[in-house]
Amino acid sequence: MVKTGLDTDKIVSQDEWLEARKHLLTQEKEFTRLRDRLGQQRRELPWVKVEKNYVFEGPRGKETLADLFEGRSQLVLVVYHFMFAPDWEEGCRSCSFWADGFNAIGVHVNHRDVTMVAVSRAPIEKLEAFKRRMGWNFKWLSSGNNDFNYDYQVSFTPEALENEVEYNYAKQKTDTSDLPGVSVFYQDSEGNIFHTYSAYSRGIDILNPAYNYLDLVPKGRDEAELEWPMAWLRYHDRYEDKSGNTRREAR
Amino acid sequence: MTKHMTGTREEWLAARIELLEAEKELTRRSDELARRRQELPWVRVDKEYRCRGRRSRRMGWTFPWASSFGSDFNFDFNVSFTEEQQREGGIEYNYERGGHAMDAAAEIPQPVIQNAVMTGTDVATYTRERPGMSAFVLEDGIVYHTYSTYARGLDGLWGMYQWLDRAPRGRNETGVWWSRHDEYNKR
Repeated sequence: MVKTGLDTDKIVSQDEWLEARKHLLTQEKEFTRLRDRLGQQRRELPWVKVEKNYVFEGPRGKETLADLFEGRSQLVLVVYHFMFAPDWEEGCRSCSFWADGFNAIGVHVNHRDVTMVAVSRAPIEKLEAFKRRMGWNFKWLSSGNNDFNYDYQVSFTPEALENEVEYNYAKQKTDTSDLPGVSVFYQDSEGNIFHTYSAYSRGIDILNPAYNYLDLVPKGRDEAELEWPMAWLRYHDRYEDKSGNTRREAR
Repeated sequence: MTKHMTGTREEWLAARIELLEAEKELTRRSDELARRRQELPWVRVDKEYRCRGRRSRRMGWTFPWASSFGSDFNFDFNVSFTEEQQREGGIEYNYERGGHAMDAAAEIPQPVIQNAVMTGTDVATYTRERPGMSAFVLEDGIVYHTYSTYARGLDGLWGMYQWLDRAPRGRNETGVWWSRHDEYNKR
């Protein structure tokens, strides 16, 4: 049984709970308004013209960055930088968690003229095999033969890793060749492509619906006592017990 | 050619880093709110609710989906309302009584009318149901209610909105644009 340290003071009447809940609601509404304002600020960012012609390897052969927009009128391309280096056997576990969260939304955002894809450096055959295993249907392309991952600061050469690298807009030391992120591109009516936005690290936290749910429950993410925050995480087909009860019995 | 302001990589970076500070502040506030939610008191649930479960076929979903038909569950957690409450302006939703755009006295907004049609019902029946999320905890065999959220409190749980908030035109919506995932081609 998980010990929650339940104290009887915590159990209150409906009216007392309501009072506490309404107080929190005021703060939650403030947060929602702040989040909307940030959305507005993002839209006001200047754009940078993309001058390189990136060619990716897709499920049906070569595709340029322009091809990925699929002709939608708003022509917004959201790229999830999925960590899967060429010599890895499986895609990153945390990125797989994020992919589980966005796999079903592609059809919806398409109807806002937004195209979503994932890009990794591993060869397309590895991406396709892993995608089949996980049962995902989003488009996943390999940037193994171009500079895309390096230019958008999610992959680092062995030489770069000897020093500090630029990630999440700061110099930091890392041992990992590939890190997660999101980049957004816009294509105008003449076919010019602009980079509008990139986010990394905890900047993509809010894109994971499972974490948004966990943030609403009594124990929250409950990661503080783990060796590292996502030590509990498995690929969705690799949890020892599908019901999730193992942890409970172990204590 | 785009009318949007364009800039060099350096100009973009300066603006982006300024925004990053605001984003980090939002992340910290989100963490702080999660902590406050954990500090909320709990209410013991004394009623015994009986729900019936079944798997959903058409949409291909695999989560457990239970019917609360015939119990007070939806009414007690403020997501279903009676005709009487609707008539008398007594709908208490998102911790506020009355004044909701979907209430009987209010002028019904166009999206609500569309949504009612899409669920195969009339507006009055449709608006007696509202979305929400509630959390419970089971401790020594006793169930406690810990949290409920409604309306835009659910915004963060709608995965696609958080992605769209990062696109150049954001949510870019004027009305109801979404469909059930297997119905887009029918429109």
